[in-house]
Amino acid sequence: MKAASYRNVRFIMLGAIILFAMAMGFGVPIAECKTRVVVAQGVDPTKLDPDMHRENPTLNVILHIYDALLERDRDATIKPDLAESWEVIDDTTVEFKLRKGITFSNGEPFNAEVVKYNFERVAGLLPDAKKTLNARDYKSIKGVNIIDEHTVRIVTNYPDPLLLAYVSEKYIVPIEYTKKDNFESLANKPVGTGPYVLKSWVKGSELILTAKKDYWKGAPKIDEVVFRPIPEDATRIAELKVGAVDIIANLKPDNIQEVEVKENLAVKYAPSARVAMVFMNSDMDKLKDTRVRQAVNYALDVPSLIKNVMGGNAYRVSTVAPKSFVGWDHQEKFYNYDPQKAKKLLAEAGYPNGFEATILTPRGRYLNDVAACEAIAGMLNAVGIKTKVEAVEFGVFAKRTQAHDMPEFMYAAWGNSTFDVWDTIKTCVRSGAMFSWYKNEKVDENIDKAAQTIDPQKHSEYLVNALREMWADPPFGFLYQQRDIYGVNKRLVWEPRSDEDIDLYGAYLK
Amino acid sequence: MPANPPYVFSAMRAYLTRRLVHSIIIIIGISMVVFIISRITGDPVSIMVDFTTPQEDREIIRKELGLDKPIPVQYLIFLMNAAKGDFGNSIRYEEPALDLVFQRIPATLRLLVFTIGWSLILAIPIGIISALKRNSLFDLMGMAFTFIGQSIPSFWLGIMMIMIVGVRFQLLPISGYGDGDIAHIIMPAITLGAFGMASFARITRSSMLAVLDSDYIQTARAKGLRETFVVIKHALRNALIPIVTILGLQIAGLLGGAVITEQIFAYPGVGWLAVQSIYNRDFPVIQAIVMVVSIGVVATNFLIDIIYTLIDPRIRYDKGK
Repeated sequence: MKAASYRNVRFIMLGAIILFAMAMGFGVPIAECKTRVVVAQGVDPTKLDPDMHRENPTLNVILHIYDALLERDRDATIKPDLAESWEVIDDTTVEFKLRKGITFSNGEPFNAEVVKYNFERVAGLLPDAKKTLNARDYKSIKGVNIIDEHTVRIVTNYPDPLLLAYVSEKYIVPIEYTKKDNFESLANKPVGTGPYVLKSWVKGSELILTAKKDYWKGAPKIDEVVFRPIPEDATRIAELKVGAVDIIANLKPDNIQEVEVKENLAVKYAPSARVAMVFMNSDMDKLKDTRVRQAVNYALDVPSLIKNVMGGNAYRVSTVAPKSFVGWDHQEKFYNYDPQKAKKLLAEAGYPNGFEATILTPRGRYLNDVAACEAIAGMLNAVGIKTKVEAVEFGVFAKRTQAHDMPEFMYAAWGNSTFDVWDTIKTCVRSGAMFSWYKNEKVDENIDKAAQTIDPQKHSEYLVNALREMWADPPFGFLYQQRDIYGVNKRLVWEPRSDEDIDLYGAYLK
Repeated sequence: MPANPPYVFSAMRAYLTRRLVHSIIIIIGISMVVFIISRITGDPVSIMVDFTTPQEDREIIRKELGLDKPIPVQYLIFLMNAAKGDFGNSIRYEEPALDLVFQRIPATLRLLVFTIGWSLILAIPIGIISALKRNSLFDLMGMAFTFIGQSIPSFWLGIMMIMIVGVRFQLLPISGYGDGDIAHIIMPAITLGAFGMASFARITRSSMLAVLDSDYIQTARAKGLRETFVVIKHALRNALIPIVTILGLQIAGLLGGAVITEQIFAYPGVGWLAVQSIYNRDFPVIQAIVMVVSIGVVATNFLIDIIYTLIDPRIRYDKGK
């Protein structure tokens, strides 16, 4: 009698499982014969309107759909793209010769009218158009003049040395398509001249791009590019291991080995445009003296930091301009690690017993930020600067530093999308700037001159002068540029770029 | 079945009215807590804009978002708009926050249905058999199994499943939603349901034990009814009452668990949206999620209270009033 009851329970259980499974519906996998590459990012893109987003994961999708007048190659050098060539007419005028015969994916032609419309939009000169999220980059633009159907001139209100850099970031959208609903459709149904078109986008799940066979630079070699949002590091790595994903960005140094040991996977590196530095508050008496700030630089064992804290994932920088930046000094000099010299300089400056200090850092914003600060504090302690680490959440960090509230030191890895060191130092070094605690007239003079010079050679010379001056009278403890780490499936031939863009045009499968 | 006397209905009505008022107070209380927390944890503008944006530009944005007004005024505006279903636009997506939440709800509901489904299907038989074969090897193993289920943290279970089932044996897809196929939901549902399944099994076992000892079961057996009939029809039916109660409580817990599970498995539901919005300090979305979810939980509990009074005639809420 009892045995019968178990049989019944089992029967009911089995029946219920089958019914339940049937109710939920089994999925059938669909066979794929096209070449397809899957990129996993931490988040889903927001809007595919190139002027209405703020994040790299969104940009990675956008750059496959649109083209800009200029583009950067892997070394960050600016090259022609939709513009065949450009010419600096005077300090406030640049002329662009446009490529002919190019059309958008909806058939609209690309011409001077389109370029004018695009730059007027971002410069806020288009009546009725909403302010774009990149408007700040184009505020120098006074207007766009059409010379003929394939020639335009961008005129600025004042010399803008970053204009070409920002032109290379301005992806071109069509007129008629965007006019009819004031750019609304662009967010979810993008139309561009780029190598791919949007096939489908299930938000939160996957976004699929298909190759445009008649792309003006030649058909892409990969038929489909898929972007999938996967927020967890461990999950992204697992997907990479089983081959469901081909590229993952922001691999942590701790996970490199785990990826490297897999036969089908490779770890790839690119120098990042993020430069870490120790800001010094020279508004404070103890850091006013140049010798104290030099002492800090002699106290820092940067090669050891790179090796032991960053796991080798950083490159030393003599000042704040890495090699790929405009303004990089070919004759770069480094501060050698010399704690004795540091102590001597401190004594000369009137601090034979050092002083007490705090280093402020955000927690988890930059690669190994807190660990780096702990090591830096240890090095400073060794020369007598008794430093304690104050690690705070990034929101707090941002609020405090924006209000100019900084202790003796601060650790930040400064991003720079323009690859022009002027962009960094105008904000972090020029006296009176938002993130500057420094004053040096010679540096200011060179920064200001660089601001008014768009001739690349001269602009760069002023920057080199400023950096040399900054080396002698350091506003920062100079550290390193970070290295971006990617996990990649070996079947894919692709190289990462130093601007963090994941560009698959030109990549192919073995 | 004899009709209930009229006083039962009036007592029920009074009880339900009281519960409804309580529910509304709870929801308003939650809205206040959420609002205050999302304001005191930092400045949303500093997350929205580039680090180097000057103060003037920040002030403009703050004004656009109404963040320059005093907090009580902001709260009243929020409450009035929320009543109309307007939680403002998401800062990250620049789309109505409520739409984003509604887009994600079907996936989460599906996960919840699946999770509750499998955990009940497994838990009830385990509980019944354990109770019937008290102190047997099955009972011992069943209880050890549920003990493990209750003690494993879900994030650990999720990651272990990914490593073993997904990577080592490659039996199931690791993450995502796929085409909404069953394969993509199995691992998240197991992760999310492990704790609840264990609780259900334990509750079933203990309430079955209590029921099996009662006189009416002895009577039923003495009448010569078949054991299956006794167990299923007489014992289980009564033992189900605490399970229904626990189910109601579990729904809130499962929604909390869904936050972690969805994040691990990149499962596009409300939980993942919640984590992402917290990271981005996207407060309109956070507020919309918390409000929608808490209304859902409060409504479920309200419904369960009603079901409870219906399935168990012994329970009369006018008692002890």
